[in-house]
Amino acid sequence: MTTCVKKLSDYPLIFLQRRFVVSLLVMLFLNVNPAQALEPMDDTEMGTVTGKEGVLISLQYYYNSRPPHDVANDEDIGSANADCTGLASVNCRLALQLENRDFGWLVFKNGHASLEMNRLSLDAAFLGGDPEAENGVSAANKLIDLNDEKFRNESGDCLFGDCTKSWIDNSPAVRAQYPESGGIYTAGNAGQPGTSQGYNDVLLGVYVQGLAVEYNEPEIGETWAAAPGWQANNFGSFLGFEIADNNSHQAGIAIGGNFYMYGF
Amino acid sequence: MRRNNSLSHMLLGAALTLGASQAMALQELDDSSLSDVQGAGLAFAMDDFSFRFAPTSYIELTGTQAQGAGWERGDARYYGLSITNGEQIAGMDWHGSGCGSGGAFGNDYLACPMGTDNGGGIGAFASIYDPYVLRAYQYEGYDYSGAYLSTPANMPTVMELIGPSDTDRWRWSFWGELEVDRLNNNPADGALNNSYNVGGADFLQSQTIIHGKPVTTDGRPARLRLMRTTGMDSALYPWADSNTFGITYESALSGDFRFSVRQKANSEDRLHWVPDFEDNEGMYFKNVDAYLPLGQLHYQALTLDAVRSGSERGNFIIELTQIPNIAAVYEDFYCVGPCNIVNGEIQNPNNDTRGYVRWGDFTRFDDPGSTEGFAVPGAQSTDNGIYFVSGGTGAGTVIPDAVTNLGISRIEGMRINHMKITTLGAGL
Repeated sequence: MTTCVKKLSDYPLIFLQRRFVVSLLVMLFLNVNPAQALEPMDDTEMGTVTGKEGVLISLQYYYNSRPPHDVANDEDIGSANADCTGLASVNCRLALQLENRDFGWLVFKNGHASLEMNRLSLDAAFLGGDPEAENGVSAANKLIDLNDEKFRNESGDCLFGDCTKSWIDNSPAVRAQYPESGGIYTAGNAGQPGTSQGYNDVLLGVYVQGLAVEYNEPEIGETWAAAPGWQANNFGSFLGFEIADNNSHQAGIAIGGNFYMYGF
Repeated sequence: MRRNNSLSHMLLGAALTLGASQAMALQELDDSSLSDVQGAGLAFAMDDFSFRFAPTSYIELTGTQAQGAGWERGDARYYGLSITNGEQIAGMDWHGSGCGSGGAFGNDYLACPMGTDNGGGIGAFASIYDPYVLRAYQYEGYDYSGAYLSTPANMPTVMELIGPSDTDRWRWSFWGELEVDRLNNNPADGALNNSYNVGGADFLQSQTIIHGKPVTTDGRPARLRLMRTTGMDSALYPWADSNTFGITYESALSGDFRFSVRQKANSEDRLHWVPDFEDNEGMYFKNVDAYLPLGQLHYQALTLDAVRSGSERGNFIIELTQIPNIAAVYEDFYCVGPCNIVNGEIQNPNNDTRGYVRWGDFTRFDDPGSTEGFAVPGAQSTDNGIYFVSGGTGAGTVIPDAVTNLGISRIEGMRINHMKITTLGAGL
């Protein structure tokens, strides 16, 4: 494992951007009446916090793109910063170099992205417990046969209790949850495509105009000057991609279900 | 004594609280319930899972500028990528409407691209008893130099993600739009621009639905492995400069498939408008079973590189490396143990290296006396094989004899000795 992890971590990454905004909003549910004035808590009261409840998380991330407070219209959220001007723009790049490939860089050119994750619930659970009282899985999830080989090591030794369904049922886990939800589609009018509403669990926008390998040194016959490949633009593009919506710069995604992480 | 590791810290961390939603049941974990974790692997289970892109949201791939005469610009978008319930017949289309055929064309689960809205979750997307597992593991095997590695000290460590060996069935779907020659057409959204209108955009809209599991019929899961290659000689693999980052992937999929293009009579048929597809028409593949191993521990892996010289500089390479020209490695690639060859036929083939794609169930073809599986299809069968259902007129009704079944087909024994993919769009 050591070599594998080291290998991955050895890839240098270069981020160049004018604006990098990350805001993490952790919403607190303190059961207070919004009309009441907030009261300071003293040490005694703080000592009663037991660290056993759940949390809700919302996340916003903008990479070379414009966040909500920077635009006049919702349709412009996630649009490119003004200095993302084209393949040659060094302000909006991400470059990747693999070990043993130090002759050049794989350059993502003129890229911007945005991610908004809304109200992801994190809680604890017992895997096979009651779905309501203990956040356990549904009956359908437990109809699958046990594959105990997954919980054993190379010698066949069980690493997870006694590798039985009963053991798994009573094991703790971290649970992330989105309520099952969907959205609706409203047909458009002439000159206006249809719109989607309700796909708001995750909003994701990605745009990369081009991808190409850029080299540090020209070879014989090439006329460009030597320079670090991550800042060069001599070889154009072989592929570009985008994730968006017909009506905005962010795709709407509805996610439903319970995600459990556990270990052995 | 209580074992301590990063996972238990993570569990505790996630259980830390700042407040609670009133609607949610909350769980408390005490130290004793966290004391049995060793840190050998992480397991991920997903219950009642669904994932839906909005029908107007897309992933688009764009190429480079058209390369001169004989090339046409194409813009491909994939909308509404969805993974939803496939155990319930009831479902909905991209407009959120119900759909269905009554099963007359074998499309109970293939008429609708998605499960119903709030019942759309997949109960056992990944069961707690057979979850996705991410772990570090060691396997015996030959490396690139032909050395057999079998001790904990010399076996390479791989990081692997293993999928479930059984799941509930999913619907996996999207609708696609291929716009052709945008530069010479009117690309305006919502203009009257369809496949036959002069002056508008030229495009083809389609729908793809897969109803099945990410597992082969006999229970092989999908596996992804990441590793540092072992035993590469820089004289034999100069592009790799000796050992490098390697990937192996075993692809597994079984189920039914439908690809269709026909829209209902009242569907708009405009560029970037969400179509209302006809529920029956299309090309069907029933009882598909596919397994494709890419790479073998520890002598073949997917590697990443770039074109280093010549007119194709600037391009990227994905290569499934060549099987080393070493007798012991070739024997391992083809056989389990020493090859037993009788009349030119291997009697003990290595099935882990043999990919296959079966478009139809062959059980009764291979064994006519069997009562398992499905019969070899007739000309109008809809329960097995490859067939087409033609689109009708009006509201989309079709007549029963519009089914044309081509039969069953399969490719067996696909072994990839070497594969190299080079992009060609970039350049000076």
